[in-house]
Amino acid sequence: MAPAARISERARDQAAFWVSLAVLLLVCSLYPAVSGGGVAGVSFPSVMPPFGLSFRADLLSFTLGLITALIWVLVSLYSWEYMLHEGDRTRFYAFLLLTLGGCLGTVMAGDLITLYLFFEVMSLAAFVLVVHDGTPQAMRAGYLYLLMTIGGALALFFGIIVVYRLTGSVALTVPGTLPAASGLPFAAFLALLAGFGMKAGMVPLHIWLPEAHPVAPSPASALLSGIMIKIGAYGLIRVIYNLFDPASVGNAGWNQIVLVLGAITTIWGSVLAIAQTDLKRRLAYSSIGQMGYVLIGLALLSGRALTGDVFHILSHAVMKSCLFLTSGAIILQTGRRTIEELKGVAKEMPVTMGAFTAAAFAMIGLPPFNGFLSKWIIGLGALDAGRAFYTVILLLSSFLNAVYYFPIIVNAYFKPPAEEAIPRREVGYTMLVPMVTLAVLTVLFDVLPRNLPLELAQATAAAVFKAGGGLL
Amino acid sequence: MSTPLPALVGIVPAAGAVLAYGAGRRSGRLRNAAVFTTAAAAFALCCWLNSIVRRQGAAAYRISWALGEGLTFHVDAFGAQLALLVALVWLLVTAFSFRYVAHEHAPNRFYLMYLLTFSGCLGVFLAGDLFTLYLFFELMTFAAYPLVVHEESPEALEAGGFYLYLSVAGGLLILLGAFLLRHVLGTTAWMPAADRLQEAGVNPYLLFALLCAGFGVKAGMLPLHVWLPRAHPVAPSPASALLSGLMIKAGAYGIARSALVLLQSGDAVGQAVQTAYTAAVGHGVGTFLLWAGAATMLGGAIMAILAPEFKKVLAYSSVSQMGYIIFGLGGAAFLGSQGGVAFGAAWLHMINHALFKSTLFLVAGAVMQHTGKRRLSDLGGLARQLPLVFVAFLVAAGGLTGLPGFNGYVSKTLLHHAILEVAGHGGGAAALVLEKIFVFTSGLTVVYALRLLFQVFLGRSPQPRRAELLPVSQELALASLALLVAAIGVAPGPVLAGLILPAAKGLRFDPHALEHLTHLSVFTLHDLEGPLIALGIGAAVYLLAGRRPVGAAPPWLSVEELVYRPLVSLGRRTVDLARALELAEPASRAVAWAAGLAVLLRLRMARTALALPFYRAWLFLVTPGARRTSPEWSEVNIGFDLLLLAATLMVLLVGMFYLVRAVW
Repeated sequence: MAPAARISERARDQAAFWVSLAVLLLVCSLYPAVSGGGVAGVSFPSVMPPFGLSFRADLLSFTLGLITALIWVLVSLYSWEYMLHEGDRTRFYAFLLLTLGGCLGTVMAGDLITLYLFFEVMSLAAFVLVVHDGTPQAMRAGYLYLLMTIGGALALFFGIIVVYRLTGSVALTVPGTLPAASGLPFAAFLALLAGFGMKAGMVPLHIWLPEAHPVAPSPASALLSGIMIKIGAYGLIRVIYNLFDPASVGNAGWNQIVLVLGAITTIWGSVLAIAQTDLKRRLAYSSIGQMGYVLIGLALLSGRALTGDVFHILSHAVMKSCLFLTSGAIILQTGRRTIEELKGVAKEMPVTMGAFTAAAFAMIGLPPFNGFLSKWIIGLGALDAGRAFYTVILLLSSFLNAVYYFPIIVNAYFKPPAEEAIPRREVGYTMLVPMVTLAVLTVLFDVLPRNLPLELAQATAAAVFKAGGGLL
Repeated sequence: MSTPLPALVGIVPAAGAVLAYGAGRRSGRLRNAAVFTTAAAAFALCCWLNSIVRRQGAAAYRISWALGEGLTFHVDAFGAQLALLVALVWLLVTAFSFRYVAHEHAPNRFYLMYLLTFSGCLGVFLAGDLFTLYLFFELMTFAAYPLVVHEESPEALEAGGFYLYLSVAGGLLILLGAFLLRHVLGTTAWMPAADRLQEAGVNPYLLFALLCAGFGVKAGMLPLHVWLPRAHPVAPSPASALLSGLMIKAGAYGIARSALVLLQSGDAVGQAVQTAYTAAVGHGVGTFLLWAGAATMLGGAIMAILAPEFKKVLAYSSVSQMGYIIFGLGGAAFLGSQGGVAFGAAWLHMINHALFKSTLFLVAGAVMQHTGKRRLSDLGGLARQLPLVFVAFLVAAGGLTGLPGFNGYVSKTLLHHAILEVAGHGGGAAALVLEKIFVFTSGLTVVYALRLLFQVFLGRSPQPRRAELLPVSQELALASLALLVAAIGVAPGPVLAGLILPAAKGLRFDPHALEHLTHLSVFTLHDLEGPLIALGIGAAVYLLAGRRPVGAAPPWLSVEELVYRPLVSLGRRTVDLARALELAEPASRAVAWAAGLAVLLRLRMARTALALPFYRAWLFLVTPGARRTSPEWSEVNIGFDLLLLAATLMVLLVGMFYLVRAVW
C-alpha cells in the first residue's frame, strides 16, 4: 500500500524527490484496481484495537492521491535549489515527506479513525513547515495554526465519536448509514464540517490560513495552499457523500449551510485579497476565495457540480502551487515581496513571470486555462441545481480575481522598475522545470484532445454518486 | 458544409504571431516579413472561405474535444463578410505599420499581440456559438491590452486600467448569458431561442440585458464607452486604427446576433418565424437600442467637438458612429421581419466605418510620425507638406460626414430611410424625435470634421520635427483604403446586391423588404437633402462656436465624472473597508473561538481537559499584539513543543473518548 511506505524515510535533497516519484508511481499503479468504481483495500485490525487501521482506495482517493503525489514530486524538485538558502534542511525534508504521508494516508484511509490519525499527522507535520524560518512572525503564525488545528481536531473527534455511537462502526465503506435530520447526527455533521472546514479555509475558520501560508518557505506554501487545504475539502466530500448520503443531506437542507459559508468564503477571501500588498499574503487570501468555489461545488449535490468540484480541486492544486513557486522564485532572486516592488520584474525573470501569468489567468478563469473549465462546469452545475445565485457568485469572484491579479501582471510587464533592472537573472533549471511544467499543465488541463483530468473528474463524481446512492 | 477552414482562419494569425515573435528575436526585417505573410495568408483564406460560403450558404466545423464544451464554427454570409473585412483592413494597416512601429520600443511584443488580436477578432465572426465566440472575444480583449498600454506612459496605463476592468466585467456578463443559454437550450449556438426561454420561465429580456451590456462595453455604447476615448488614442496609431475600425465591431456584431437571432422564435427545423410574442420582444428591444444608439451618437459627437487631441476626436467620433450602428440594429429589431433596410443600413455602416475610421487613424498616425505632435493646437498647415495624406483625409472625412460620393452617404441615407420606416410602423412621434436627433448629430459630425480640416491641414504651419517622406508602403495602404471609401460611395449598387443582400438573407427578413433594399436609389433629390441639412447645421455651429480652441470638456458632460468617478471612489472605499475588515479579523477569530467553546461546553464535554488549551488560546486572542511578540513564543524549542502537543492531544483524545462513552 502506498501510504505505509515512506514515513521512516531518511531525508536528504534527492531522496525526497525520488521518494515522491516512487509514491507517484505507486499511486498510478492503483489505477487498474480503482478504475470503473473498484475498491482496493487492506486492513490491520491488530494495530490500535478496537478499531484497527484500514486503508481503502476508490476513485476519489486515487484522484486526490494522484494530484498530491504529482505536486509533491515537482515541489521536491523545486526545493533542491530553493532550500539551499535555508537552514535545517534535514528537518525540512523529513517533515515534507511526513506531510506527504499524512496527506496520502488521509485520502487512502478506510475508516474514520485511520483518516483522523493521518489527518493529524499531516497537520502537525505541516506545523514544522510553517514555522521553518523560526522568526517571531512565523512562530506566531504557527501558534495560531496549531491552536486552530487542535480545535479542529477536537471537533472532528467529537463528530467521529457521535458517528460511532450512532452506527457502531467507523468504516467509510457503508454509505449513508446515518439516519439524517435529527439532533445528534446534525451535531456530528456540524462538528465534522468545522473540523474539515477549518483545514479547507472556510470562513470564519480561515484565520490561520493567511498567517500560516505566507510565512512558510515557498515550496511549503505551495503544498499547503495547493494540496493540504484540498484534503479538508476531501473530508467534506466523504462526509456528505459517504457518511451521510447526498439525498438526505439535501432533504435536511444541511448543504445550505455549506453553500452559504462557501459563498461567504468566496467573496470574503477575494475582497480581502484585494487589500493585501504582500504578494504571498494576497495569494493566501486568494486560496481562501478559491476554496469557496470548492465548497459551493461539493454542496450543490448535482453530478455536474461535483465533477466541476473535483476538476477544480485538481486545477487549483496546479495553478496555486505554480503561483507560490513562481513568487518564491521572485522573492529568492530579487528579495522583493510587495506588489509595488514587482515593477519591471518580467524583464528580469521572463520565464518565471510567464508561468506566473499563465497561472494567474487560470485563477481568473480565462479561457483556455483550466480555471475557466472548472468555473464553467460548476456554474452549470449550480444552474442544474436551480441555484443561479451561486453562478453569479462565481462570476463575481472571477471579476474580483481579475482585480487583484491584473495589477501584479501589469506591474511586472508594463511599469518601469524602481531601481536598475538586472536583465535575465533567472533561477536555475531545477526550479524552472517544475514552474514551467505546472504552467503548461494549466493549459493542458483545458485543451487536451482527450481531456484526461476532466474524464477522471467525471468518473470520480459518478463513482462518488453511485457509492452515495444516486441523485445524478 | 463541414470544412476545417474556419478553424484554420482563426488559428493562422495566432500561429503566425508565435512565428513572428521567434523571427523577431533574430531580425526585425524577418519579423516584418512573417507578419505581412501571416496577414496576407489570413486574407487569402478569408477570400477562400467567402467563396465557399457564397456557393454553399454556410461553412461549419466542430472541434468537439476542446475545452470540455467543444469549439463550434459556423460561418454564414454575415460572419464571412465581416471576417473578410477584418482581414482586408488588417492587411492594409499592417502594410502601414512597419515604418510607424520602427520608431517605437518593443516591436516584437507589439507584433505578437497584434497578430493574437487579429486571431481573436477573426474568431469572433467565425464562431458558431456564444461559447466559442466568448473564447475568441476574450483572446481579442486581452491581446489588445498590451497594444493599448504599449507606450507604458502613466496616461496609457491609466487608460489601460479602464479598458481592462470594464472589458473583464463585460466579458463576465457575456459568460453569464452563455451560462443561461447553455442551461436552457443545452447549447449556446446562434439560433432562435425566445420561445424556449419563455417555456423555461427565463425572461428573454434578462438574456438580452446581459449580452447587450457585455457587448455594449466593447461597442462603446453609452454609458459603457468611457474606456474607449481613453484607450484608443494612447495606443500606437496602427493599433488605434484596428481598435476603432474593427475591434469595436465585434461588440456591434454580438448585439446584432443577440437581438436579431437569439430573440426570435424558431420553427421545427430551427428556422426563425415571427410570432406575436417575438414581435413584442423585438419592439421592446428595438426601442431600447434606438434610444441607446441615439444617445450614443449624440453624446459621442458633442464630446468629439470638445476633444483637444487629434486622436481623441477620432475616438469620440467612433463612439458616435457606433451609435449609428446600434441605432440601425435597433430599427431592425423594432421592425421585425420588415427590418431589411434598417439591418442593411447598420451592416453597411459597419463596413463603411471600418474603412473610413481606420483611414483617419492612419492619417493621424502619419501626422504624428511627421510632426510628433498630438494636440490640435500644435498642428496646422500640413496639407502642403503631406499632400497624399491630406487627400486621404478628405476622402475619409467625406465618408464620415456622409457627403454624396463617399461611402458614409449611402449608409446614413439608408439609416434615415429606416427611421422613417420605424415612424411609419408604430414608432409614432418618438421616432420623429429620433429622426431629429439623427439629423442634428449629422450636423455635429460636420463640425468636428471641419475642426480637423482647419486645425490640422489648413492654416499656419508650425515647423515639422521630422521632414521624412512617407514610404511607399504607407502611401499605398492609405490610398487603397481611401479608394475603397470612394468606391462604395460612387457605386453602392454592387455592394448592396453582393454583400448586404446575402447577409440579410441569413436572418429572417421579409424578402419583399430586401428587394426594396437593392432597388433603392439613394441618389434622389429628396435623399440629397440630408447631407445638405447636415452641412448647413454643421457650418452654422462651426462658425458660431466651433472655431474657438477648446480646453477640457465640462465635467457635467462627462459620464466619467458623473458615474465612474463616484464608482471608483466607492471601489476605493470598499478596499478601505476590506482593510478595516482585516483589522476586524481578530474579532472574527474571537467570535469563532467563543462559539466553538460555547458549543463544546454546552455539550458538557471534558470540561477540565479542555480548559487548558482553550484558556491559553483565549489568552492568546485577547492579548494585544505587542504582548504576543513576547519571547515566550518565539524561543520555544519546536521539537519539544511539538512532542508536548502531540502527547497532550493523544491524552485529550483518549480521555474524551472514554468520557463520552461513559456519558452515553
